[in-house]
Amino acid sequence: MRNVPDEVVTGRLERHIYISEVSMSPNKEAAIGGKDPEFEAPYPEQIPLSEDELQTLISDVESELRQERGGFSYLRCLPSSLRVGLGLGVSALVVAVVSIWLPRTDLSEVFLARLLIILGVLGILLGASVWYGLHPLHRPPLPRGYDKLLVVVSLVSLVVLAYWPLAIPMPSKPDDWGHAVPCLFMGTLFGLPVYLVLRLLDRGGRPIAAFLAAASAALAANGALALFCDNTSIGHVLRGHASVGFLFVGTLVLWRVVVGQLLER
Amino acid sequence: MVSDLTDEHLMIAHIAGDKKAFSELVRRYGPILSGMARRQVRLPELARDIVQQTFLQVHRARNDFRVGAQLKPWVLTIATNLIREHFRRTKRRPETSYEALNAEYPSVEPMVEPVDFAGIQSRALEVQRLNDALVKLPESQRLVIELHWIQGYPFAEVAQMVGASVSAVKVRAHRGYRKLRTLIDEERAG
Repeated sequence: MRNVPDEVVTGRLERHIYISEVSMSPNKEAAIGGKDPEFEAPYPEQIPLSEDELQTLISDVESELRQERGGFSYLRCLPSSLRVGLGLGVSALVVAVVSIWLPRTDLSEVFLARLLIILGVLGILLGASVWYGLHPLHRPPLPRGYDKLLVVVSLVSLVVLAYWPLAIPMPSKPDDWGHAVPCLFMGTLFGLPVYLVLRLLDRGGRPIAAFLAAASAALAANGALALFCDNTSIGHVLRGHASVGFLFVGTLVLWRVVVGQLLER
Repeated sequence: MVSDLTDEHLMIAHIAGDKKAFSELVRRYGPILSGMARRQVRLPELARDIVQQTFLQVHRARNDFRVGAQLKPWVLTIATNLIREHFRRTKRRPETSYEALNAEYPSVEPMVEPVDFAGIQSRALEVQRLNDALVKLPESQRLVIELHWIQGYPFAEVAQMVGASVSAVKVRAHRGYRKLRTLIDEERAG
């Protein structure tokens, strides 16, 4: 049995492949792919770019760069750590503004640990969504599918948190649509600035970033609603609070489908 | 003269506001990125769009560039990610209309005995076969081969660029090269 470095062994099949290749080549770097003389030679031809094509490319890029100036475009050019910080900062600001100027009437009587757990869960998911959504393209890509999963988990968590009051009996309050719509409206109002700032901070190139921004906005809005609304009945939280998430993400999905179909025509 | 500066110095000059520096970077990286994009997505218009997007992203990410870092892997990672996003968005393998790319190569008479690997660089037909074979590889294998063989990066750096472990990248490369060999042999056999 040959001594195979751990980092090149990922499974029985891969181990077998590596061993068989190493046994044919003394050079480990060239062991895979290097065996074939054709692939040891430089790639036969780089596709050339004529001077005209190059000039067109340069002028096109310069034109795009000119459009980048002014407005809020400087926000997306900020260092990534600062962009993530700003995204989280705006979300925290929305929650803080609500807690200071629009607090629920029973805030002093509410069970603090329960509220902190709700805000903590929303905060962790918000942090992950903002970080994933603003992940720069010059860094290695994040595992495929995790971003979509994060959007789904964020929406599911809003529903799960609606059932959280079951742990502690709360006074029954009306849970009809009439009482839910004002919260849905306010939640949308709380979430919009977060969504807009995150879109301005996004550098583009990753369509999923818009959905992560929508999920982040919904999480921040639900955090603010937890401090704004004293109605904790399951029906109300589902209709008036969690629905904000489905409104944000659903609108985006609908927009993409409609625009996508229009573009295809 | 901006043409005397290294890529990294050009990037730093661009960050400092030198407009000519970025044009020089486009001049240097344009052919590299165009070749890479055309091999991956095949359609020239789409490839041009990806190249432009790459430069736009380089500009937007300029404040993330650290002094002392190498620019080329940085730029290639952006291009690689944009190509992956393209395939993710379209949910399909590259367009199989090879004529678009192959039309750009000079037409030559088919060679009777195309077995001389040393002379492959001068043979448009071999290049065409190679490009045709490359495009038939799965996206993950093709990207690894692009970065390892065509761009000449060691597996460790390729792994960083594609966000996978070194062992995973080696396995992808191994399978890709093996499949590439089979496809080329099949093409040659006619």
